Amino acid sequence: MRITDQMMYQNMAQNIDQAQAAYVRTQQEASSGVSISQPSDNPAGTATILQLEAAQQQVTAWQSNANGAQSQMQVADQTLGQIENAVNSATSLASEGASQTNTLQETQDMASQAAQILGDVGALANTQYQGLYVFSGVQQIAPVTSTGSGSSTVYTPSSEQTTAGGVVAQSVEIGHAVQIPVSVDASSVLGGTQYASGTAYSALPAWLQQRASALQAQALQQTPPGTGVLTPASGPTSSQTTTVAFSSSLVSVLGYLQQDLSSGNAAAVEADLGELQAQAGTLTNVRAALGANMNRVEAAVSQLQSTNTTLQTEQGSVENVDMAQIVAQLTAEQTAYQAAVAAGAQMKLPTLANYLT
Amino acid sequence: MDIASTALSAAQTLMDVAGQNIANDATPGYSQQVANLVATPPYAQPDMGGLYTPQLGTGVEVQSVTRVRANYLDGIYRTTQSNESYYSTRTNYLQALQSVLNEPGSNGLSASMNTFFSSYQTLSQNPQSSAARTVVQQDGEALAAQVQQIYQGLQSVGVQAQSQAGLDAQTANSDLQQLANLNTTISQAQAIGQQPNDLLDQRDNLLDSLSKLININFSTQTSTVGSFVTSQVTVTMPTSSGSSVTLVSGGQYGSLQVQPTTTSQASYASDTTALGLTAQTDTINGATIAVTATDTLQSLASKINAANAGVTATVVPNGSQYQLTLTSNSSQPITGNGSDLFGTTAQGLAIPVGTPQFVANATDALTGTTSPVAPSGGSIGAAYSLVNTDLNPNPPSGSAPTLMSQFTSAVLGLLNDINTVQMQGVYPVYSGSSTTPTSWSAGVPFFVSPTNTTGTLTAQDIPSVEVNPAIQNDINQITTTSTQAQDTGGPNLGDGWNATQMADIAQQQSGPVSQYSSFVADMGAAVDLSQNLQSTSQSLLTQVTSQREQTAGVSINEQMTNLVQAQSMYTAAAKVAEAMDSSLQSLLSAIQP
Repeated sequence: MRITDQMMYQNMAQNIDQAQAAYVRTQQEASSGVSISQPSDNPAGTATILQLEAAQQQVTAWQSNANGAQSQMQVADQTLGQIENAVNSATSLASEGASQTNTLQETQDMASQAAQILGDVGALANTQYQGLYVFSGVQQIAPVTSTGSGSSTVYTPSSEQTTAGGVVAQSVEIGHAVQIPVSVDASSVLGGTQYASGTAYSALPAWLQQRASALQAQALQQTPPGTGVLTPASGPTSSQTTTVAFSSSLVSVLGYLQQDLSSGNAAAVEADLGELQAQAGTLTNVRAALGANMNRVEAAVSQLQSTNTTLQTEQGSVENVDMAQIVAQLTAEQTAYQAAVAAGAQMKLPTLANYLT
Repeated sequence: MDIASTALSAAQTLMDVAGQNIANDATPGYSQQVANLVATPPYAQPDMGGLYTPQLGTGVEVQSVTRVRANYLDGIYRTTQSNESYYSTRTNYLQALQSVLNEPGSNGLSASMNTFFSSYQTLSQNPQSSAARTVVQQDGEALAAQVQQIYQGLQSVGVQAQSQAGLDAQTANSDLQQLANLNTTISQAQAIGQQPNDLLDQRDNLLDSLSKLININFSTQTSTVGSFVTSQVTVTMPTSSGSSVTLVSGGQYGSLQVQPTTTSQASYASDTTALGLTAQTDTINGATIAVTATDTLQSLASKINAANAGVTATVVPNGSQYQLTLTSNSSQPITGNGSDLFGTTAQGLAIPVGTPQFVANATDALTGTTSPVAPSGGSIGAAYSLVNTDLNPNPPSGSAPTLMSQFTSAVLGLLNDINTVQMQGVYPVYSGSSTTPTSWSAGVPFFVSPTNTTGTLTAQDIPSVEVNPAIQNDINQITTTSTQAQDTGGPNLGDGWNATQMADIAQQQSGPVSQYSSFVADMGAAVDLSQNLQSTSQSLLTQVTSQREQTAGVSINEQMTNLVQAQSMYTAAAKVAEAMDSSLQSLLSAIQP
């Protein structure tokens, strides 16, 4: 085969070029730590990486939702605990006040304690977490509205917050098509029904009927007889209607308790005690439901964390270079390059011209 | 004596040829030259008796100095060169397109999409938080700005490719002219028996460099003039219709024109019915055109043509409608007042910004007719296929999606999905100083363009897409709740259901996120393929070059051998002359009185 000078030099230049290009490419991978710096390095891998990054972003967002939900629920749970404590102290107060042996002064003191408890519960109903009212459902920026006053105060969410089923819960997404309610429906505890003046006696719940009868009897016994709470003043109870408002919530029970203690009506206090105990049961139910949701969120938080880790690992396996392998490759290519350059230096072979005189 | 002198001059010629070869050892495209020695015609010696009449030689002469070249390799070389140049140019342009995308990484459109959707997740936690709403609005603005930026970046690569192709076409045309001139010069020289080896080399070099620019077919025509043979090269190129155009034939040459254009069209039912446009002064590429209500497509076309706006307007029937086409003579988008050149779209005549296209024509050398060509090789071919195929946003129906059409459909899918969810929600309307909403209004589109606020964007809106100014002015119009049945029974200020729906777009199986990532992957695959083809054709080219070199290259050792041979021939011939001379001297001195 005939060899010309240009062939030799072209070959040498090309081989050095190729060795150098391979070395530079490997060096870039080693110094950046990623094997995919642009889509053409690994098109299918690039698509995988983009999908994984999107998935990671979603998981992070769900984590933030779940953490926020967890905190909000914890605040709600603590608040409910405090309400429970208030109910317990009201219950012991009521059992004390139901005894017939208290003096008026003692019951008056107990009445002011009851008023204090009433005020506390009222404040707790509007607990906020980062500016959001915990018991307001989707109407998070508005406090639970109180209707009525004094002993007939009822705390209810506004009409925007309720549907036929109760308080509308605010939900957030913590997984693919998985939503969790973050607000607490405490309307069964804080809410209740208000019975306006003119309600039929038969429409009142049992304990309010008792109360109404007792108040009516008390009023009629006064000299001169005072205005009762029912009309007509006497007669078949089925035809009587109320002349004042009544309400049947935890708050109103506390209000009645306060009223009854301050007037020293031990029998009424006894009735209030019974109702308080019933309310305590309702409160426990609400707390249990909240607890179940809190467990769900906690499980979600730890699961999302492990999902995040899995995704990161997967992305790393596609994207990152195997450092040990790349360093070995780098050394090999460096050697190859140096050999090519050294061989090229030997290319300067003597020609016939060197030897002819 | 005479014999010796022929030997001397032959030796001298040999040394000259060897010297010429050595001097041109490194000259690119040089074919080594060889002196052909031939014995001069003998003559019959006068009869001195005997049976046979000897014929004596008369010396040596150099009959010709020819170049050594394997012509059959030239064809293979030029085809391979066209391919290699095509793929290397194409790789460069595709890499430029790829780098516009800036993927994978945190600066690309995927990252902006992810940020946008997760800011909606944050909003769903507290829909009333104005901080969260502001973040959503800003992320939306970043998304819109990035879409515009990527689109313009992709377009500008196409513009650059076209202007480079224009320069290449000028180079090609001057090569064609030089080829024609060389044809004339070479055949003139050959007709009188000369061998213009260096001109022949030059002609071959021109053909090589021409094949780098565009795919050509060449053939050599020989003809006999007297007792000599002349050779001329004919260069042709295939046209779009399947025939071929002659670019060089003998001393005549044609030319190649590449024209970047932008075309845009608008259709209307009739070309002679008044369009009822609002009377106003419109601008096209800076030139003003007075539009009246009685203008028809035809009258608009003639106004545009008369306005010297750098566009040509034509009206042609197109199915049941008439189409007004604006063709500009540059690849820049046709600019006007907004992307709708003649008032609002409500008036039924919206002329979009225009699709850049690349048109290539070739003028025949012999007939002078111009026909369209579709270059498929060389750097001009790479620019042609890049602009007309890869960057074509509207490929003909039935053909594979192009990179640009994939991009626009992924982006439009994203923007329109966002608009749909935004518009299915409602936002509260307050009156006076009341803090409770008096009513709920349907959401406005999130992304609009100045000329399209319907919420359904098309490809023409992409260069000017933006967040709806209504939302920019009032972030409460970002809808987070809705009246849908799956919702909590009605719109609520604190309800984040619609925000969650928006964030869920990112999770759709074949949604915008996965469409865009497969576009990025396809772009990467195209670059990868082009790189592979480039390195394949490059190694082929190296092989063919090496083969050419093998035959036509200069080997110093060979030339030195020839030089030594010529040198000894010269010395020997000089000795012969000396011997003859001394013989004559002794003869002369013998007859001296």
